[in-house]
Amino acid sequence: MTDFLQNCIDGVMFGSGYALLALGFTLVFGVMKRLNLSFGPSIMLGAYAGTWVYLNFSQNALLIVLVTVITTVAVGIYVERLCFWAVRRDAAIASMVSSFAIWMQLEEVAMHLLPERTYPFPTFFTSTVIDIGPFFVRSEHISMFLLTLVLLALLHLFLFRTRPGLALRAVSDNPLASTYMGINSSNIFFLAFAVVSVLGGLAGFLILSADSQVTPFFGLWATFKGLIAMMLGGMGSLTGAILGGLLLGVVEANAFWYGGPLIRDISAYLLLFIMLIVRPGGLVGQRIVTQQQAAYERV
Amino acid sequence: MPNDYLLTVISNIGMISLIALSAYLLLISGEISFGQQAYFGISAYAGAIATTLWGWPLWLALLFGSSLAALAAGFVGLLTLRISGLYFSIATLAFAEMVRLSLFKLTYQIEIDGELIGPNGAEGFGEIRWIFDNDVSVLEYTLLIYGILLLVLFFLVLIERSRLGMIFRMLGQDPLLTRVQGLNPVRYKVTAAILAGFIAGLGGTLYAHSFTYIEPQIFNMMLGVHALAYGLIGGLGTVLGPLIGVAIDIGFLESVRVIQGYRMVVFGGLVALMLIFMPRGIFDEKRVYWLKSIARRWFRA
Amino acid sequence: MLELQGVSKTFGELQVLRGIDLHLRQGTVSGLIGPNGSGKTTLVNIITGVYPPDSGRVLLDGKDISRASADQITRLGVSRSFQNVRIFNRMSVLDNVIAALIGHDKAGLTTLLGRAKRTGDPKVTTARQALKTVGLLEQRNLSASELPLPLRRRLEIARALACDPKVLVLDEPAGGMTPAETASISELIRSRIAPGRTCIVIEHKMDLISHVCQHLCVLNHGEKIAEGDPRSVVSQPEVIEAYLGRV
Repeated sequence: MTDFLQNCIDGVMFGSGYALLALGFTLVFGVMKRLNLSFGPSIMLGAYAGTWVYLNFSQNALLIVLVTVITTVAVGIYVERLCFWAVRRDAAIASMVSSFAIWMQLEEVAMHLLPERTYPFPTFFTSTVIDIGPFFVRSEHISMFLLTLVLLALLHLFLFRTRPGLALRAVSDNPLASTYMGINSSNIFFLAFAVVSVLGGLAGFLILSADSQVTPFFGLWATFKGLIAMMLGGMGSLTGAILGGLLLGVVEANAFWYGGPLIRDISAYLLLFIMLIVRPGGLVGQRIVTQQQAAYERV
Repeated sequence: MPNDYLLTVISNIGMISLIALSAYLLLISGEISFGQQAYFGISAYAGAIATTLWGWPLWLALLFGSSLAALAAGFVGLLTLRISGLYFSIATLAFAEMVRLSLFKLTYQIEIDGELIGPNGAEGFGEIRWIFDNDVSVLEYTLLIYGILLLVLFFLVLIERSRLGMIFRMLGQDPLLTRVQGLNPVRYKVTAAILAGFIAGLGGTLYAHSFTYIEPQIFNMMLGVHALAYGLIGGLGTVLGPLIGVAIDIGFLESVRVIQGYRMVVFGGLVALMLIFMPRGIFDEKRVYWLKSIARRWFRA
Repeated sequence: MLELQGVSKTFGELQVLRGIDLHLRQGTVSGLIGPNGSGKTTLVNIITGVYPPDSGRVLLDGKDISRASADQITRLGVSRSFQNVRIFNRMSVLDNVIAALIGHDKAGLTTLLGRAKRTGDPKVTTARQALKTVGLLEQRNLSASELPLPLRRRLEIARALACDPKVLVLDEPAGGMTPAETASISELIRSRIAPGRTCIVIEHKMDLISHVCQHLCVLNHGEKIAEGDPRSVVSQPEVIEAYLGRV
């Protein structure tokens, strides 16, 4: 029982990172009803740029964060223009396939930038183990968890207290109606991608910093963790992304404890597969799926 | 004696064409599968186990591997009946990754001639010696691959002309409308999945015996996205579409020196551009129809 | 022929249909009218099996079909067109009609693997006949996506007609058409399609309804408020009120 609870604590700590990644997916899906599979690789390119600065120029944390985020945003915008903006409006699947292809492209670019297997990523968290009764938590995970909460609060403020945030929510709810309200949905999509990329860059920085290394597998890792977390929690729902991230973290931590790394990864995919079959909208996102179904069956 | 490297490339094209055709069959019936590599992999392992560990002849191993793949595909097809679009794509991707990771756990070794042989998790599965044991030359094996490819093509052309093929294309355009024409989509979706699994499976067993060594990592998403992209590049209007896609990728991109090492950059970009300007590939339904009518006119004149 | 008994349907909180009874007589054209949101299309979707009713029964030749799926109902002889035109865009006009006939083949292995369009296949003849009826024979080799809206509607009618259905359901056959086009399609329905056939026509345009229908049923808020001879029905005060508000 203690083991299980300890796993759950670890899971929640890891899961907060997953939740951040899932927020990126859910924002794009909520606004555009499309999946951006290139999300992970664009963060990875950002992180590579950060590492490159770290290795060659400066160890200033702020500068590295900035480089990471700016590069992620730049790549995000490239993906948005190529795979989303240029693809026909009604072709959601084409965008997904396109972003899948661009993923492979970005991975190869990253390989050429930094051809080694692993690179150190600057760590800004001191690592100590904190005991709470029979349980323990690592301090860098606590910092990550807290920073995740801060980012979440900022995102919430942006979405619910600013005009661009309102426009974003309007387009997400009803693109056609918001067009008639004078909102240019193309600009909003662009904005969504920019916001998501900033979020992704920060998330990447936090996660890698806690890991203190970056590998070429990070792109795949980030895309899948984010995607699985979102699809578990709920397509296009902010609460869902957080729920899904935490759920995925807890399941993985337990699977790892009882079965090892391979079982952990398999269980994540299994969970996703089962969720898609049983409840494609995730825990709280069934509304979007039923809406899409209803729109299709409106004959 | 023709150049062995060239032959390897040619036989590669043949085997990859099979998985491309399998993705194509699903594409025309309206589902985008990111997971055909799973069936390729299942059959590669099963077929190689059959010949190497159980001493089966190749034709039986081919049948066994592909049937197993078809079975798995049918199973996934049944499970995913209710979902479509991006949900289906992600579900197939999740399944394929599950299969790939499970292969890391697959250890099944038998001692043959004082050596432990068989799949051994991450170590992979080497010594698939059927080609050597039976004195099959690279050329002969390449011919075998193309013989099977031709059979599959012949079969697919038959399907395209048949009612079944028409139903697949109807499903690909509007499942609800297909239902209202008196056709039960369930049956045909699963049929398409099983056929596609079998075709991918043929490629898998052939692949294992051609390379004599396989490991789980081969059957990753990279293989899947290629399989899918070939049809999208070549065109969804004709069975030859995916083959044209394969030829463009392996024949052209592989051979152009300038882009060596940047192949995925070019290929990924190409796919993205195709999706913008020709969403259904070079030879899409319209162009194929147009070409056919021109050919018909020529034929009459 | 086709009979509805107490059909009700609720979507979420909204009750779209309440206890609808309807009886279609053999060989007559019945019109179904009502303001927007009165439940006309839902009724058609229930008849054609797109979704089942919550309660009540649909009888075709005395046989309960309310739980049958859309494909089964189609094979039993109910064909329809759609309010938002649905055609197979990437097929030729002729193939669109053949597609409908394929659904009525028995699904044996040999049938499935047989050629879809053998030369001399009776299906091709039937399809051409249907296209001729609606005046689309000239365009048979065009891609269906190239047709303008009025012709698409005709293609839908041809597709439904080709199967020689017991009941033909036309959902707004003149939707989005100009008066001239409406007149022409209404003449087509009256003179070439309706004779000897059981039809339901959903429409807003009263001139079409009065031109083709022998029987009329008016829905409002999911309830049947009037039924009978078209001319007497449209002059009933409830019907006028439903359409124009309280005068």
